[in-house]
Amino acid sequence: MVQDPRTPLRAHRLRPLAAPAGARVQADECGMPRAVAYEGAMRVVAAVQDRWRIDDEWWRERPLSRMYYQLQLEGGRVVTVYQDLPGGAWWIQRY
Amino acid sequence: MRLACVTIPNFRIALERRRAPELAGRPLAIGEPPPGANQVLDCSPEAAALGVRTGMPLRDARTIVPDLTLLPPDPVYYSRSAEALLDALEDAEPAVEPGDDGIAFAAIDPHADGEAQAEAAARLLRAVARRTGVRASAGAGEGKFLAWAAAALGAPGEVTVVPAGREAAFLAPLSTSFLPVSYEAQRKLALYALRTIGDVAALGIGPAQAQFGAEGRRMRDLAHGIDTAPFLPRTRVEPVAGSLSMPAPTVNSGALIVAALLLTGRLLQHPAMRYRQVRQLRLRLSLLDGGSWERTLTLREPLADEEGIVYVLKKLIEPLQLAGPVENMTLEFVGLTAETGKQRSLLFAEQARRRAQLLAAVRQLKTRFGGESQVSRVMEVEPWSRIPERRYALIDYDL
Repeated sequence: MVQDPRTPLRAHRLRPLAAPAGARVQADECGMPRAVAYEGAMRVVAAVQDRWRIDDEWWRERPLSRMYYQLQLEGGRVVTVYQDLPGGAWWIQRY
Repeated sequence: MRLACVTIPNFRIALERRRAPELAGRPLAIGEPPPGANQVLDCSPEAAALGVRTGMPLRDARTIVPDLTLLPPDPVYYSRSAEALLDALEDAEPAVEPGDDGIAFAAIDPHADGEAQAEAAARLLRAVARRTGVRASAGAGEGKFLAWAAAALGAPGEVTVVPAGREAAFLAPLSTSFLPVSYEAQRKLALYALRTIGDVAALGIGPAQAQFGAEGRRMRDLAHGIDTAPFLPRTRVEPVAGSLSMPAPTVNSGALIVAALLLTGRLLQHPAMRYRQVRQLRLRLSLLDGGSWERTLTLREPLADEEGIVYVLKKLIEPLQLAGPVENMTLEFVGLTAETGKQRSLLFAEQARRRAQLLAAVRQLKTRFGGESQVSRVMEVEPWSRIPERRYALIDYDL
């Protein structure tokens, strides 16, 4: 995850909506997600519906670089996860 | 009126050197890089000796002095330091008036002898050095101009007292560049070869007014040591201010406007704002790279409604071109009116009543459960952003 350079949040603040949450993801040797911990259990990825990459804030000390995957899990649930490319950590992104 | 003046030459440079002592002795300038004004705002004596001048384009300054250290301005730091300077002076003398950057006046005992006045001025210097760590010079004399001229002539740490009755003699040998007059008047003084203040004092009042208009009379009075400018000590007011950390550093005006909206709502709920209106707003932005931006706005008419204040802030924020992303915003209501009533539109009475009911319910929830507001509302911040969590933000609904 890109380290947040912000000053600590205080009571008077804007709270981001749909902030990503840390996720446990098992990936294959190519880096494609194969299983995602979701609702208390590891769920196998049935299909990768889409993938895209976001590179932004390249002018900052720690640029933002994410690889997103829209996944259909076993049972039909669709989730969006991303891997923070500089750090390698996985996150679930709600929309 | 007997006044003491404390002055810190190149105030902003002195402050920058206070927080980075390694800058001492180096040619140093403060300038706003593009997209800002792109010119030198202040420079150190070392840079001035090499030809750098205030107002010069930054590119020219770099060409003249290739090893010039150029710093972005930090107006928030400067104004807080100026406040600290006034606080320090108030430690020593109760009535203090702020002047231009790094200049302040204090009333001293008019019946004290020269020695006691020098001691009073020295006390001011000690208070400034103790509180701010910056060395100033001080002067004492009749009126602001004389006190300032005496202070400006002294080296850091020095006190110069102009005894009563010696005003004109003290000023006579000084250059006319000391006179606080317009650029046009200075140009004319040079054209007429009036080089010293003594030359101006020797002018008859008729010729002075004929050549320089209203300024002629004032500059002649000043040359005789007569300064009628009133001494207006600052009055302490409880500031109505709030600050807010941005969810992520941003240059986006939409996000800044949402932040301004949130802060305005909060400040309007401040107890000091009850039945009062605001005349002046001060907006401060802290930037990610350590710089800052500050503006004080005087409103055309006092306001106490959120829409009106946010409209003004929006006009200020929208065209902003900042040197870096904003990390923190502080809004301050500076000038408050006395308690006053204002008739609101009857057309929106129902809407206002519902809003008041909702706010009362929110406050009740907050009292019942404590802590932060229990109700939030969703605001668009950067709806076009490719980063999902940047698109919308929750703000407390206890405005």
